[in-house]
Amino acid sequence: MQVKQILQLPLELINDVSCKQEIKDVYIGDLLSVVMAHGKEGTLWLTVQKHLNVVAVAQLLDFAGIVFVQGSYPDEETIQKATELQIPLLVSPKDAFALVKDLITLGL
Amino acid sequence: MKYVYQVEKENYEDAGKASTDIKRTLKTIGIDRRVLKAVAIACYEAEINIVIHSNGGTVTFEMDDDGVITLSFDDVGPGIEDLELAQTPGYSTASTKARSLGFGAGMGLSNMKSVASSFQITSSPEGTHIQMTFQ
Repeated sequence: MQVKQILQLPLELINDVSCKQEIKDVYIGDLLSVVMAHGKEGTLWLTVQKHLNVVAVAQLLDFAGIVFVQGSYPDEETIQKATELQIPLLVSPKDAFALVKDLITLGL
Repeated sequence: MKYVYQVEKENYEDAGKASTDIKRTLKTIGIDRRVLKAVAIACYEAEINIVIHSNGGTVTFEMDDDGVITLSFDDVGPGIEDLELAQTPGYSTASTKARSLGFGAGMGLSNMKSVASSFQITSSPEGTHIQMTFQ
């Protein structure tokens, strides 16, 4: 499933990217080293962390995209960097558990 | 092939720049994906450690004619008091600021050891030196 297909959920895409990335896995985590250890290529990463470093982690591991959950919203610098690297950034008012239920319903 | 990057103390904005640049270089030359991921993980962890814990240092990337990659990390102190404890998964001395940004899980050194082909660390008050190889 491509990132653009999950946009039918109540998610807001906040940067200008293609969203053609293939989602192969979903991972929830806020500790960057734990995410580094367990994240795989094509992962859709759900987190409340919003600092610029999340983009570095996503880029290093070839993630499909980042979803900022529970109302977390990144700053402009983070958005710019992700756009430059063509990493989709999405925001959701829901918490990670509620969003994962929606993703499973969609077929992930 | 050899590149040296400067890493500044507590510069969280630029943290990860050396790692992402090295990854980009390796991707361009078409290196094996498994090695690429291992280098990316280990390099990022060690680079972040210089930012969080040291007074600044360098990241050195080298690749020899056989494709063996060596990453070296040298900082200027203050050193790690108890190396054995520092390598215990979950143990961290990261600052409140670092933790608020998602660092300080206490997994950095163990992540490096788990992905590198070889791992060496020495430390004194003058600085910490880490060398890893990947093949």
